[in-house]
This record gives sequence, C-alpha cells and structure tokens, in this order.
Amino acid sequence: MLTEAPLRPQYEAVIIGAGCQGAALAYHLAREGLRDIAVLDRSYLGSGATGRNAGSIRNTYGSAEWIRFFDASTRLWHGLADELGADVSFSPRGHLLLALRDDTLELFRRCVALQNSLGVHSRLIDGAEVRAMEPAITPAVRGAIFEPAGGMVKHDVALWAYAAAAHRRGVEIHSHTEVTGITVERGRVSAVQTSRGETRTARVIDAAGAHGAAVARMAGIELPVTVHSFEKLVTEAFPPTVHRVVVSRDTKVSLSQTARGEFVFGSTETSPPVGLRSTYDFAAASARKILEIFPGFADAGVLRQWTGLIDMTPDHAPLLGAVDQVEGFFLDCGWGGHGLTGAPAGGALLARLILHGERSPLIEPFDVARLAAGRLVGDSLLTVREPGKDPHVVASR
Amino acid sequence: MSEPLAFVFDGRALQGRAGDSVATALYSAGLRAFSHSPKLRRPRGPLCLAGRCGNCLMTVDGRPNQRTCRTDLRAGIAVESERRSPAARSGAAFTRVTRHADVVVIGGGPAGMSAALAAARAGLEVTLLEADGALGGGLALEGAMATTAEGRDLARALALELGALGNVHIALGAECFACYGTGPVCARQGDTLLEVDARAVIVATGAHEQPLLFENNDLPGVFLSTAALRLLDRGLRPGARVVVATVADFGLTVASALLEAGVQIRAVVDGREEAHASGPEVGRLRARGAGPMFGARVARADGTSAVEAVTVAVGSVEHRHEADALVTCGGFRPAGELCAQATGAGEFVLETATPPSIATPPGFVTTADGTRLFVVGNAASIGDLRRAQREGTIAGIEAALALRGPAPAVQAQLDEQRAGLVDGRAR
Amino acid sequence: MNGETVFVCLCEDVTLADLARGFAAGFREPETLKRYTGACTGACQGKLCVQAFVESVAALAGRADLRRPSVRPPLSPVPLGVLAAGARDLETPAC
Repeated sequence: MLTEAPLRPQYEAVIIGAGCQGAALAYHLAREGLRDIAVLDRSYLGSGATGRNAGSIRNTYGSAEWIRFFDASTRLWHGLADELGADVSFSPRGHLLLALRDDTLELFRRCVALQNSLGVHSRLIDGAEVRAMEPAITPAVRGAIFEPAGGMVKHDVALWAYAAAAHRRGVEIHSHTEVTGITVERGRVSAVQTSRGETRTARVIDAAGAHGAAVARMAGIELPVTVHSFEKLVTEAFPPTVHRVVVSRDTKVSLSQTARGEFVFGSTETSPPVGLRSTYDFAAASARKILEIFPGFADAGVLRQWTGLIDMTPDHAPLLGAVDQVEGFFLDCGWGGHGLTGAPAGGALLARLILHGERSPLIEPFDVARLAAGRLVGDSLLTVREPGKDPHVVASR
Repeated sequence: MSEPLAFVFDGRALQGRAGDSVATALYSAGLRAFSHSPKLRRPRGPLCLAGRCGNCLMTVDGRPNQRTCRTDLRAGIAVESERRSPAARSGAAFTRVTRHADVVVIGGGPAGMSAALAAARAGLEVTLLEADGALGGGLALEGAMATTAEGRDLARALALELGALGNVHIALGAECFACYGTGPVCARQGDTLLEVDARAVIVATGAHEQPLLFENNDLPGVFLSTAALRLLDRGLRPGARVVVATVADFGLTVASALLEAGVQIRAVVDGREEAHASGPEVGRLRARGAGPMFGARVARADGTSAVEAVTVAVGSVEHRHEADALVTCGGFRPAGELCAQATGAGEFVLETATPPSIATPPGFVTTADGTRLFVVGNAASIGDLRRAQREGTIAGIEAALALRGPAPAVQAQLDEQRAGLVDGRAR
Repeated sequence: MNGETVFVCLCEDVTLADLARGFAAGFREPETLKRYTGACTGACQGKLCVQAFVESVAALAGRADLRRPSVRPPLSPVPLGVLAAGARDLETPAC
C-alpha cells in the first residue's frame, strides 16, 4: 500500500496526511476517476490520531447537522468491508452513552427524540436496562442512550484497508515524506515542497490532523484550531466481559473491550498538549473515572498508556471544503476526535466537492467559512468550549 | 525452611513449602503447562521465573492475571489456571504513599546498592526501590556476577550497610513502572501506589535475559538459564536430561551449576566459535565430560506438550538428543525501558559485535522536562560486578555534587572512581 | 528454519513466518509491523521479545538502523485500583 518510488514531478491532487481522512479521501477521489493522486505523510502510516484512538463509532449526537453527517458515515462503516473488498474489523456491537445525572437524562431524552426524527434508531434506556446489558456497570448509572448500530473499529485495520484500496486504484501513498512548504502563486496553489523533493499540483488537501494548522500556514492560511492531547490506556486481556462500547458522558471517559480481550479506555476530554509523552495525572484520573463506571475492575492490570493529538475548532466540528483565499487549497481537518467516525462520509463527500463542486447538504454545515459568519455547528451532547478568539479563517498573504 | 504449606489448585489439594512462589510450588507438584497461548492455544510453561514472560499467569484468590512466579505461597491460597474477568474483591484497599527524597535509586542490585550507599554517605536522602522481596538483584543468582556464596555475601553486606544508614529508605516489592518527567517516579508495591518525588533519578534496573529462536521454542520445558538457576535455588531441576544452548559465557556457567546439582546434561551447545568463549568455563565443563559443541545451535525442540527431544545443528548436520528440558541463554540486554520512557530516547541500534544491545544513554542526562537521570550497571550496558559497583558509586557521588554543590572531599572520591573508567565506561 | 513454529513474540503467538508475511504485505518497519502482527504488545510488554523482533525486521529489511517501537508506561502491569490511587481531586466542570 506504500509507494517507495520518488515523488513524480506533478500530481492532480496532493493530500497531506495519510490518516483515515487522507486515505479515505484518496480512495474516493480515485474512485471518482481522478488519476495521479499522492498522499504524503511525515511518518509511518497511522502515526497520528488515527493510530492512537479507541476506535468507537457512533451516530448519537445532539444536533441535526452532526446527526445527519455521522449517521450517514456510520451507515457507510457498516458496508465498508464490502466496498473496499477488505477486512476493516468494524464490530457493530452497539454503543451506550451513559448518564450519571438526572439532568443529563433529560438532555438525552431531547436528543433521542431528535435522533429518532432523523432516522437514527437510538433509544433511551433506564439504569436497570443498562445493567441488564452490561452487568459490570455501576448501579449508580441513571440511564443511557443505546444505539445498536454503533460500535467500534480497529483503527489501524480500517486505515490499511482504505490505503490498500486507494493504492490498488493507482494512488501513491508516500510515508516518511514531510511537507515543508506550499507554493501559492497569484492566489492559487501550484506546488508542494517536501523532504523528498518538490512536486507541482493545483490541488492540495490539508488532512494533517494536529499538524493541520502548520500545513495551512504554509499556504498563508491561519486556522482557528487548537491542538489538544487525549490519552488512552489498555489493560491485559480478559474473557469477554463488556459487550458494547461504553461512554460516560458526564465523567467523559470511555471503555470498550477488544477482540483480544483487552479493555481500552481513556478520557474523552482533552487537555492542553504536553506533546506525546504520557502523563501521570491523566492516567490516574482516567483510572479513577473508569472505576466509578466499572467498580469491579480494580484488579485489571494496565499494560500501556499512550497519547494522541487532535485539532479542535471552537465548535468542535470539522473544517471541510474549499478555502476562499487560496484557490485549489482544501481543508479536511479540525475533526476534534471524530475523524475516524467521519472518515467514510468525509472522504466520499469531500471528493465530490473537490472534483465537481458538489456541496451536499450533509457537508454544507461544516464549510470553512461558517466560523467567520458566526454559524457555529455545536453539539449539545458534547461540552462546547467558549470560543476564545474570533473564530474565522484568516489569510495572511 | 521447608515447612509444608497446603494450597488449592484447580480444586485439587496440593502442598508446597514456605519460601516457594506459587509457580515453584506448582512446578514441584509436577505441573508443566501453566497456561495456553491466546491465538493458537499452545501449552506454555514457566520460561523466565522472573515476573516478565507472562507464561505463568493464573487467577489467585480471585485476582486474575497474577504472575505466579512473583506470588508468595501462603497456606490456603486458591489458584486457578482458568482466566477470569476482574471482579469486585472484598477487603480490597488501594492506597497512595508519597515519599520525598533527594535521589531515588531504581533497582537494588550491586549497581543500585552502590549508588544508594555513595549518595547516602555524601549526605543525600535516598529512596531505593527494589521489585523483588529482597535486595541483591543479579547477586542472588549463581554466576550472574559471582559464585552464589560470594554474591550472597556481598548482597548481605551491602544491605546491612544500607540498613544502618538513617537517610536511606528501602522499599522492597516495589516495582517502578514509570518516571513521569514533571511528575513523580511511580512504583507499585502490592496494592499501594508509591510516588517518589526526587531531584535525581539513578536507574539501575539490570538486564533482561533473552530467549533463543528455534522451532517450537515455546514448548514447556524450555527455560531461560536464569530461570534454571531459580529452580536450583529451590532445590528443583529444570529436567532430568537437559540440553543447554547458549551464545554467552553465562550459559556455560549455568551448565556447570546444573552438573553440580546432579542434572544429567545431554549436550552443551554454543553458537560461538571457541575463541570467543571463556576458557575457564569451558575447562570446567570439559573436566566433567560436558565440553561444549561450538558453532552449534538448536534447530528444533520436539514434544507433544513438553520438551521430549532437542535437535542440534552444526552447519547442515543435525543430531537429535532425547531430553526433557532445554535451558537456553541468549545473552542479556539492558533493561532500558525506564530510561527510554523517561527520556523519550532509547534508540535501538544493532551492533556488529554480539550480543546486540539496545543503546541507552550513559552518565547523567537531563531530560526535556528537567529530570536528572543517571543509568548505571547492566541497565546501561552489560558488564561485570566490579563495573556495576563502580558506576553505581559514581552516580551516587555525582548526584551529591549536583544537588549539594561542590565539595572537595566528595570531588576527590569521584575523581578516584573515574580514574577506574576507560572511555567513560568502567572496564 | 520452519518459521511457522519459531515464536518471536510468545505472548501474542507471533512467529517468524507471521513477520515475513507482514513484511511482504507492506509493513516494513518496526512500528507498523508491530501493529499489524501484534508483536510486542502482550503481557511481557516487550521485555523478552522486542530485541528478537527488531532483529527479525532488520534481517527482513536488510538494514541495521532500526528503532525499537516506542516504550510506553507503565513498564509493568499496574492494577487500575493502584493507578486510581494517584488521582488528585479534580475539578469536574458542569456540562
């Protein structure tokens, strides 16, 4: 799935970042008929957030824009193995979003009504039903949103499947190739400089995750994103104990059990980054929070802790589409931790937008200009940060 | 002490002895397959007996995934081979203890003990963390650093000196699991989280013995040579008819130890050329009719659920030995994990000389977040006892100078110690 | 050697043959081959296997300048209860 040959002098499209977004987009661009596509990654495939997250897939959000988009994406996850002709290790085992407080349950009630109205088959269940499904969960749980169509995916396997499928369609994926500059002439993209030489192109897509802002800056664009770190931990293997993906909305911690039997858990909230060094406070806090949800797991041994970096916009929603100030430069970042769930829809819709200018109603709310226009697309089921600065895309040249 | 202790294994009543681990008690009761591998369900036996390999994991008194080689045998203990999910345990109490020290020494072997002594004598408050139940590290193993008697005497002497100092806190059974930069050095001591807040960290974590690769190298009855020594220490044997395969002098030493214990050795297989092997060790074996075959390696171990035969290859010529155990020595690599984790370095570079080692920074380094870290002894690179003691002493003195400022008497000691170094490494 | 029964990583049942297959499938460096095969991600946390693993990748790739996969804490298994004992009182912002 990787290309070891040198970069060619010219490409029809250069995607920066070979994570799940970049790989999915490359696959769809090729599927739409575009040739001469290159995906460039500064390190090994999956070295960014794609390779570091817990892999949970869900469509249970709290705003119409988010629900529509991520429901479409979740449906695509269900058919992805057939589409790509490869194992993606998607396990549609069901997703539980827990409420530990009564006011959260009220919020859930409203959200489920909205989700159902948009065709998502989620339902609100009470604490007793949660514990019937998952006996290991604390008796203190008040209830949950249960979505049978949600689940989890082996993030690396899915990425490799996209990369292999793209490669089979002629896409070149170059790892260990760092982008060092982007040439913009007369308001349009014309070339990309890398650690392995320069190449000319009229289309550049920034799918560089935590490095997305740095890449955009090379094209003279300032992105309103902040980089945050998230941490995950994994335990030893146990017999099957937890059957669904479990997320505690109130204490912002998640847990699922892999096919090998390990519990993968971690905080769903982020902190200012300390780089990729795992931190003590996060490990200890996550452990305490997960024991609040699963009080019987105190003897489970933690084997590994790791950190990932995500880029967050003021409304936590991604930046998808063309940038007015630079022709040929597109954004596919700011996913804020939802990039894996959003990869199938993001790749498919963004490919059509890039090639045909098609602005589907699903992708339209996440357009790049929304922030300048004050159209925040938040989600009431997530904690929405107060915007710090003016949230809009700024061209510096 | 051989007071019998009754315990239960998979519902059967068994007996072990005081001083046994659950693993050695099960082994002496005749158990050979302790677990089965996750994917292929192949039987696995105790391989390292040092709390590292994961083959001896069992459920003990309801607690899953316990390393039985690190679990002391107690009367009435209930052991199950079946994997279990974690479950609430009555009486479980997890606590946190925070200690402050000038310097924390991780590892209570000869390098660590020497470092703790030197730092304490120079006036520092020292916390010494040792994962085992007793100080000594490699000194407790025959031939690891010295003969058993010498090693044990030295360990006892150093431990006594340390115990007599009021400014040394020794934490036994405390396994250091991370050095969190801006946070503390963290260790697990049973159900207690031990945090050590120190201004300098001396890493003396020793080395991991490495296995050899051959067909069916996962069969019960294959033991690392240090595991074989641990069995001998409990009056047990890895087998009645043993093949020893090695690529390092340590394996030859263990072969001699096995012969001393009355084990029949079918063959000693050494992958090196004779010129690279220790003359005295080879001589000892030859004198007992167990001279090594050089330029030879194990091609294959055979057996349905445990070792029954070992096929040795010299070039393309193979010879099959009936054997019920295979003791291997693949050399040692520095236990550089802590250093790599703390510094974010720990690059693995293959060297042309054997054995390859994972490079770790020697001497004091200051990490990106300001932690002062000094790696000594086998944890830095594999060496001998004298070097381990010298490096540990240097680290302790250097810590004192770094934290207390210049002091002529202390500096003089450091100069004397460093005079014993060649190229920055004690030789 | 018949690589199908030579175990590089005992904890996760990864053999020399598995490594060769992964290498042929395009996973040519320690970080990616580790993820593809699961080598070095089991109970021993790499203590017994990471050297043999990197040497095997080096032999497959014909190069010696390889880095071992990143070391991640904890360096030995730590029960959740012990880790949780380190948690300090945290602000729990209202959502």
